[in-house]
Amino acid sequence: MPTPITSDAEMGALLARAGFQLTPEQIAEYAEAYGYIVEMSARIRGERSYMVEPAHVFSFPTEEIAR
Amino acid sequence: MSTDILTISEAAALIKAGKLSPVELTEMCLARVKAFEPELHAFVTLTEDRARADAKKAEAEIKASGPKSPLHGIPIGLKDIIDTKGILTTCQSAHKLGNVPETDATCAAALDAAGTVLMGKLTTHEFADGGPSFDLPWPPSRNPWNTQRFTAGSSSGTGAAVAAGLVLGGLGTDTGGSIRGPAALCGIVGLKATYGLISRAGVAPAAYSLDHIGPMAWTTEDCALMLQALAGHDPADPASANRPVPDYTAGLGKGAKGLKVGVLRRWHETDRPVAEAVKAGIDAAIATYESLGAEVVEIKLSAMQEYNAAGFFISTVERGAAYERMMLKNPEKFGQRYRDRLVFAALCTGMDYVQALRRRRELIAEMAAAMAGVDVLLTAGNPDEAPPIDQVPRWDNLDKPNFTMAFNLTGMPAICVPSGFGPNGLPVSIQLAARPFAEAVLLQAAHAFEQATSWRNRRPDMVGLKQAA
Repeated sequence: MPTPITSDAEMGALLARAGFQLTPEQIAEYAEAYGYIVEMSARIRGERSYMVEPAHVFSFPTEEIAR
Repeated sequence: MSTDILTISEAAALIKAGKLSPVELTEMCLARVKAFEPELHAFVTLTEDRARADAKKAEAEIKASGPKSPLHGIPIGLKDIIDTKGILTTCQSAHKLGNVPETDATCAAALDAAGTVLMGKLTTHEFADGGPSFDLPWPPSRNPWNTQRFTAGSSSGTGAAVAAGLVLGGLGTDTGGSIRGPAALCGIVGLKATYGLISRAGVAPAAYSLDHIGPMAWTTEDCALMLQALAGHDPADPASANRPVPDYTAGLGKGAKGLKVGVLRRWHETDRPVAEAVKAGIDAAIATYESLGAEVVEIKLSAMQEYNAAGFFISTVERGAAYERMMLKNPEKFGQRYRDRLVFAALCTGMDYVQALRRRRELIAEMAAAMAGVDVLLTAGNPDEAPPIDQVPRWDNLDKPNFTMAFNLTGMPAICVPSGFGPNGLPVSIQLAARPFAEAVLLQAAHAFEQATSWRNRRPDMVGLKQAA
């Protein structure tokens, strides 16, 4: 689970990894937003079994199997 | 209806009876566009010549062999992320300034085939997310009930244009509430159909697995008429459902007797407490359904924040993937608010995305179990009246959950229907949701509430219409 960013350098590294070249001011602004993201990331991680599958696992439609 | 602006069903009846021509109806709408568009900014592109040509064609066809559908000769508008052959389609972005598609989106073609009159392309948030923005090539749309107020988005132009009678109906898209939010704040009806019921082919993506298309109109009946033309399988959309299309008007007028309405109090009382007017609308809806013979039962679900958190990661990462190349190549072409949303994608990890998808499966199962015993679920549409357009927080999709995302996450159909007015004279709304592909019962329940109330009798003051009750 992500932990809160403790420095602008960490935030800058994360954004640079995605290819974004941002100013120090912009990086500081996004650090504020990142707090909300960390909070939400905790919500999607429960005490679930590793057997619980994601929603995009799919099955083939019947008509495709028949062909 | 007691306003001077016709609904689709009213206009269709008059056209069928030979008492109104599509040309006359289109000129009425164009006159309202001329009068109110300078304040509303509902259109990115007004297709005046196309509208007049469509209307003349419809008039000739109807004279020759009668209307081919209730939409024949009806002026409509399309959100400007929907491709239209030969017509500028901007996605409200500097990235798409000269974009003229070579084909129609499937949903645009469906409305064209039904005989509609295309009035133009309607204002949206940039690529359907992040507004209101004041740094794009076009201004954001304004709320006809008070032009200093927000329309919500991203189908903002459709909400404003329908409320002010610039068009009789329009298309919106909805990834986390972009049809239902503007419907709620602009005082109209907005239906997000079940995921896969209306083709997404030719519509710019916001988030692939959460994107829905749907009609926005003054009444529930009008939404049903539009849905009838829009629903159906399309091989061009990999998510398109291949199933029969029922008669969506079949339940209209049957009332609510025998229906089971689930009420989810936790969301509007605890998770995101709503304004008094919104709560009054929900309470009135409960009382109305009971008086109509419906059974109202309490439903319990996880916190709204749970649905919103999963929806946030899925929408953010899918959006980021879709627009990554544009963002890295020309970030300056995006407005600030949309750029923010793309930067958020860089702050989410691959594990966040998959954990959100795992949570999504759990929440779909939870919702399905709750819905097994009811026909429709009742929630708030929006927590309050429309805020001032210049006071929408920058991180508004992060700090508070909304009432709409849960039904994008689960793919269920959901509709916002006006439920009154707040102390500022602005509309408020309830939201109803139903099981996947149960649009017919959803529309029946919404119509029953609408018919039992007087909220459809009042248009925005700016339109200069008589006010009823």
